[in-house]
Amino acid sequence: MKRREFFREAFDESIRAAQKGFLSLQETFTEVNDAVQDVMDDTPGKGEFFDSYEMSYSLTLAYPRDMFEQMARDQGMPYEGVETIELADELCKRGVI
Amino acid sequence: MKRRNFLKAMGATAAGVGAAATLGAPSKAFARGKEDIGECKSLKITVLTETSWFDNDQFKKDIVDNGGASTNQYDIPWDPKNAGGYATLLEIEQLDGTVNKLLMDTGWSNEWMDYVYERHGIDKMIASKEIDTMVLTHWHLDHFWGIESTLKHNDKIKIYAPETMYPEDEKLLYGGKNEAKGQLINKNDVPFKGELVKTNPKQFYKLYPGVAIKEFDVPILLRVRGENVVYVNVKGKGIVTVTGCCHPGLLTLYSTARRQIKGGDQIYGCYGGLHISLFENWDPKMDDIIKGAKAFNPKKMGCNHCTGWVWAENAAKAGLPIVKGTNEYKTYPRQSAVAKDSNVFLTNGDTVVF
Repeated sequence: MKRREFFREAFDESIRAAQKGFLSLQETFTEVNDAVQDVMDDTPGKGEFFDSYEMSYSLTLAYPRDMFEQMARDQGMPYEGVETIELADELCKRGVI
Repeated sequence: MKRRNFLKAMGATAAGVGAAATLGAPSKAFARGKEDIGECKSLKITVLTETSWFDNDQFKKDIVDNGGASTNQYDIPWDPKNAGGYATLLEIEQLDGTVNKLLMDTGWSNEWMDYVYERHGIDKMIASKEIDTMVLTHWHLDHFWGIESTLKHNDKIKIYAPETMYPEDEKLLYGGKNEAKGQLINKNDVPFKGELVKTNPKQFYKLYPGVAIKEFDVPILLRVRGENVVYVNVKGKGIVTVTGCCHPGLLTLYSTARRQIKGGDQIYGCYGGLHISLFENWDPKMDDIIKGAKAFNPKKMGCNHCTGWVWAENAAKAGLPIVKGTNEYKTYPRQSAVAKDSNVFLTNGDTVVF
């Protein structure tokens, strides 16, 4: 291999590696939801439990939906078409959870 | 331009592989008064038992048939044959080489916990005061009702527990029994005589250099509230969270480390239940938890118990550093009905070192 070809291949390989690295970087930041980014940014007033599913998943996603519907029914709360996170928040405000 | 938009734009246009490693990590929180919990050399975790119950369907049925998830756990006549327990041994090696042993939680069934303690020599460690402290993560049945199995070896063991205890908890702790619909659901014949430190969310409770408890005031079902989390700062590696169920949520734990603990912007990993797909249910929103966890760039994640095998499998496929377990759990007399050959859980008898 000529010296010129060697350096050209090495240069091309460096560019490919750089592109790969930044695609990975782009993927990281475009896929992180605002709720998580707010936490990482330490945005004042953000990152509270019921702000998002990411922060409240241990309650709002961990249990089957029918368990929240059962609690809402017992409270006489409407639940059809209502997001689970809203149900959980309201049940919490009422002291049910 | 907001930071997130700036970063998105930069990711699309900038060049240079070296920058990825730097910018891929979360930004540092504003420098303000942060808690210095010190540093330790390493943390070894032994999974004494993570099988709180053996049959998910039966556990769920007991809840639904007795009024639902808002029912007081002491009002449910739980199937006693389904009871196991959650308990963990933490061995913290200090910078000078000394090792502190800490017990986290005390399980549910006394029969199961007696077996587990004998198998791992925990009974002798408690009796000899090699273990003299227990952190109770929260007051749920599978973490607390096996308290007699601990107290029978040392009724003066020091206990850190959330301040949100109810009269039934107190009755059991100080020697008593509880019944639900005429069925005995728990008992403790060895009254507690030691120091009970009731934890609150206002402060960190420092146990040893590099080890502190933080209580989170979060709503939990079955009329329980609040959970203790153990933060461990491993020198040169970062923060490890050790949890019972992680009811506050992993992202809350990591963000709290970043915001409140000196050195907390470097996350090393986690161990314990993560409370995601408790009944092996899957919701596409759970992918966002995987993405959120990746953003904190953890190096080692040991999970089990209420994490859900389905989530752990998907997290491993997505590139999160899930530490795989062994088949040691199969040598225990009972196994979880949802255990899988993928071994994405650290389960009974496994160990991990941070």
